[in-house]
Amino acid sequence: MNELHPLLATLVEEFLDERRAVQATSDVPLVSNQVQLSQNAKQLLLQINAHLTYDHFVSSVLEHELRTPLTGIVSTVQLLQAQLDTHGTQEPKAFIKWCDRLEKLSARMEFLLENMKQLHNRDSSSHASGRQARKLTSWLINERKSLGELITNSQVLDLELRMLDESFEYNTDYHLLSIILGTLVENASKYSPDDAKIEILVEQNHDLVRIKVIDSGVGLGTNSSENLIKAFQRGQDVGHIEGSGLGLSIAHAAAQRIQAQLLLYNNTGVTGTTAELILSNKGICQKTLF
Amino acid sequence: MSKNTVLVVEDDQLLREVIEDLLYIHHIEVKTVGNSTEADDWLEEQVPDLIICDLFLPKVSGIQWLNTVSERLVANESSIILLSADHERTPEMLEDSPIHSLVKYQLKKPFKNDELIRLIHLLQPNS
Repeated sequence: MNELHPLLATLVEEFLDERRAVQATSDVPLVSNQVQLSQNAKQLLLQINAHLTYDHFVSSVLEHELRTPLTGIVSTVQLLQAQLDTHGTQEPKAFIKWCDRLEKLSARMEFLLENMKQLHNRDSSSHASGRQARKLTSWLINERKSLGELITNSQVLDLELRMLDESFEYNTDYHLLSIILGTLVENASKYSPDDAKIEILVEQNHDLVRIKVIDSGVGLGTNSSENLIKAFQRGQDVGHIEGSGLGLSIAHAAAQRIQAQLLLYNNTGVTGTTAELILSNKGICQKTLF
Repeated sequence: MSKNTVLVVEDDQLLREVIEDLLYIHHIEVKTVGNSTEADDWLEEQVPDLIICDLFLPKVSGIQWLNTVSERLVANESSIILLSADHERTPEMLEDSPIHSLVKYQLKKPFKNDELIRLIHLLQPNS
């Protein structure tokens, strides 16, 4: 929510400026509902809306991540209670096993909570939310501008489009698609050298679209993709790089919501990682490439 | 493994073990798997009458996976209990899904053990 404060302050200033400008040019008293919103104000409102949607989404992912170990704790306590009621302490092995599990679940819970403290809201620069059909090529070319702001000045972001049909229309929630791509590009930048090239390769073949974000960074190491998409799990060899570890989890959850698949794998023959997002107008991507 | 075996698809290993212990204590046959690929493998052998499935799985969502195996589940008239942390979005995700009618209950995490056992007995009286 921190990102919202300056946006709201700017919006209020924008309104006041507009009001002053209208009053200065008119002798007629101002009626508030007659004020026309300027392009700036409209843009600010869109950004605020995007932030609120994004914050709600982050909360939803966090809620799921926290509820899972909580369920384990609650159920194990109930198991222990039931066992005590029926058998007393006659089966110490079960007690030891469950107490050990409680300790692990509590540690997981603590880990998540500690990381939550360090989570910073990130800027989400996309616009309206909700499903809509758009020409993917134009959207990507336009989106490239805001994605370019997520990398460092010395890095280069390349967008290569290999479209079978240049006018291909894809129907999805573009706000979420923007969050996913933003997270992938941000991650690629964070884990790549200062002068690195980050490549976005888009391949479209009939209903299937593959968006690959390819970096030359530290790679996945021995981490499995499945672990990395869990909240706050981070790759090996990234100890010196700041990050919450939540980004990929959010991107993964967002991918699931738009019925896309998110895959992560090491580049073949060279260092770095490829994050591949598979989209299909037919909805569900049935095959997994993990 | 029999058709009475309850298939539990949950990616969190510790929670999987908790559910396994809970069902074992109540003499309910259970097979637990951590992702959709393992679940697919197991489905090759046996289509269960009851599946307990987490909404968020690592590769595809629980509903995405269930959709991919829907033909077999519908033919078998299997029942599904969905485990989720977010009930608000489930109807949206289930919209137009072929497994819509098979989802009998949604349990919000954390759930009570007794509630899960009651639902299993309700959906699978022979268990």
